[in-house]
Amino acid sequence: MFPRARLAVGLQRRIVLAPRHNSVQAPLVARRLISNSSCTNAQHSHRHQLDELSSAIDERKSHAAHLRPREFDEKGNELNPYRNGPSALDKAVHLFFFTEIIRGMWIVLEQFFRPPYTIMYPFEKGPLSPRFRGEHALRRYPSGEERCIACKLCEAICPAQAITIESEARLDGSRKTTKYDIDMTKCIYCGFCQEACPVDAIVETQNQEFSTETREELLYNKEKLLANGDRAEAEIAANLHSDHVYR
Amino acid sequence: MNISNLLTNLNSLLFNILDVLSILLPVLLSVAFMTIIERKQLAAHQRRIGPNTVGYYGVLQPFADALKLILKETIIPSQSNKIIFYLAPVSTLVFSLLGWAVIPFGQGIVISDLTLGVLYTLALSSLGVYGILLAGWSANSKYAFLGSLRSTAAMISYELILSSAILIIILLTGSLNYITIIEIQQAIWFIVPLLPVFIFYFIAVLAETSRTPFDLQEAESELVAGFFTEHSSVPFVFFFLGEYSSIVLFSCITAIFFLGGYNIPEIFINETIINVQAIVLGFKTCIFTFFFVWFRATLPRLRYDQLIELCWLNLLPVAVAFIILIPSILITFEISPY
Amino acid sequence: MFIFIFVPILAGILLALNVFLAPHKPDEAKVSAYECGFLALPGQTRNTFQIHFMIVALLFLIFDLEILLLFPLAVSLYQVSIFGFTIGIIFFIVLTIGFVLEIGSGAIALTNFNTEKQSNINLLPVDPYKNNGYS
Repeated sequence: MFPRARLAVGLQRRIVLAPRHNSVQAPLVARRLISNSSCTNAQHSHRHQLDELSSAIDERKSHAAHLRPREFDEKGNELNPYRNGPSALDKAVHLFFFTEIIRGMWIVLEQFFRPPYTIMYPFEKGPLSPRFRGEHALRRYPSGEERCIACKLCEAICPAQAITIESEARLDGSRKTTKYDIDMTKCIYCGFCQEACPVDAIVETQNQEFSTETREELLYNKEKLLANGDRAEAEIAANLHSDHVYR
Repeated sequence: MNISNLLTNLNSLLFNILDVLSILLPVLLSVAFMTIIERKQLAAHQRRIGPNTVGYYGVLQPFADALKLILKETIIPSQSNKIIFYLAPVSTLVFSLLGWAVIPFGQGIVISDLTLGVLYTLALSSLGVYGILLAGWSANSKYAFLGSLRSTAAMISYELILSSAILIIILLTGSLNYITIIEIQQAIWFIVPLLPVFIFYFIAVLAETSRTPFDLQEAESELVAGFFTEHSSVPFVFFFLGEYSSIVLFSCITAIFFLGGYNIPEIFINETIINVQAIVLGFKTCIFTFFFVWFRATLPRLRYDQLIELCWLNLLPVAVAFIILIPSILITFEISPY
Repeated sequence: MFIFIFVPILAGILLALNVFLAPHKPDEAKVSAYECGFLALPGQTRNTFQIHFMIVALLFLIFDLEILLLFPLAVSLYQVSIFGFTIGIIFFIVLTIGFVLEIGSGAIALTNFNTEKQSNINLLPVDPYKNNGYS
């Protein structure tokens, strides 16, 4: 107990003395320290890391004061170029006892006893962002009137040219689409169509599980898109609302 | 030849067959389970789950795989040399399974107690190279050819290290018989006095079974699948079985050489139906199979020139030094183990 | 030694199972040599390869023989005692001289293309572009 407490005190005093913004070398030194330290990355708290880092940089500086100067013989050749490096014995020990390999293997063994990260997909699902871009849908106003005004901005911006729109004036004079097709085999799910839409008519829902057995089923027409919108209206509205502050 | 003579012959033949079956069926099962163990353990090291749908906890996965592979179409490349193309995988499987003939699983539980058992094992592991060489040559494909070249060069290089490590053990035991080697280790397991030898022996074993970090012929990013690029369905199964059988075999041999084989303290030996010795040997084998997969999960693959230099410039001098050191110690102190 | 018969029989059974149960519909693309999406040109699949592999094989032949020649010594070390051991050491000294010579001549080094020190064994591969009409 006692010596360990004294060690901590000693470290703290050094932290006070050591300047925090030390040098460009600091991250390098820190990385080396982490890789050399006995505990793994995950176990380091941020605080712990900082303490160890600054104290070790300090230590290294004090080492630098003891560096032995270069010595030359009369011909100008350096006498001992390895004077400040690790000793040959150190190197031999590291080589013959496989210290680096054993350290790596210890880390791998630690992982062996930890629980897996796996999510069993069809049975468990991870969280989806409200901005997730999945299957397309066409929305309606609460009155039941479809939102799309056939401005064809989505058709224009679509980088994959997956959208085809044909429009016509309706009997009441409003411009509506007669044809709104999305080729889902072409779509790259970039989300430009929903960004371009001035009335939030075309949106991408969070549905990502719409695989089909034939190619033809992926050529969506207006009815399919409107049906998608009717089915997922609550979800779409909630997602748009949760995201509206950022738009 | 009278009837009783014939019956006796038939009887001995039947016992022979039963002998072989009682060793080989468990071996094939253990090889099958080795594949699932490897996948599960690698998954655990990488914090995944691994195969878990076929059977409870995924234990039936190897059988599903085997069935799938047997029912697959065998594709024989038109340019290949057909006979050798089939001969290569068969020889790989045969040579790695024949190695089990001399392994003692307990006192007297061995198919054939050869006096030169160790030499037999060495010969078979040398013959294993032929399967790889023939497969690479007969497939007549660039990848298979390059893979077999690399693999052959690596395997024959590490063969040296392996046989010199075994030579050191033979120096201590003075016999090439497995049972003698095991019985001498009743005093002390050889891993204790021969730890450095064990280290380079195990490196050589990893290279002999061409496992990571020495799995150069299977460097997927460069060589597709190495020497069995062109082999599909059952010929592929043979390579697969051969590889895993040699992993289990070498784990077993390592356990015999360094962990005292089936040795346990005598108080545990009893005469009941359960053979504790075989279980002990199996347990020791499992330790080394765990090591095989553990190394695979940890170590990156070596480059080819590093592989050859590690063998010839680093390991071989150390091995030769030990071959001189160990008998020198034995002769100087006159410590004869037999 | 029934095992010597049984194991090939096992292999034969598996092969036969495959022949009887699996479909067999080869076509031209299927049976051509694997070539990463390119067409495999006939005659190009057997490449020249580096002499290095051959040298390693030759070295193996010598040194494996050496190790195997020591096995009888290992088995009978206590009968032949110090005399036999001395012979073994002499054997090793000769081989070590040979080994040092091999390493010194660069037989193990795979890549010495750009070094100034020329070895007396030519490790450069045969020029693959020499006689195939490319240059």
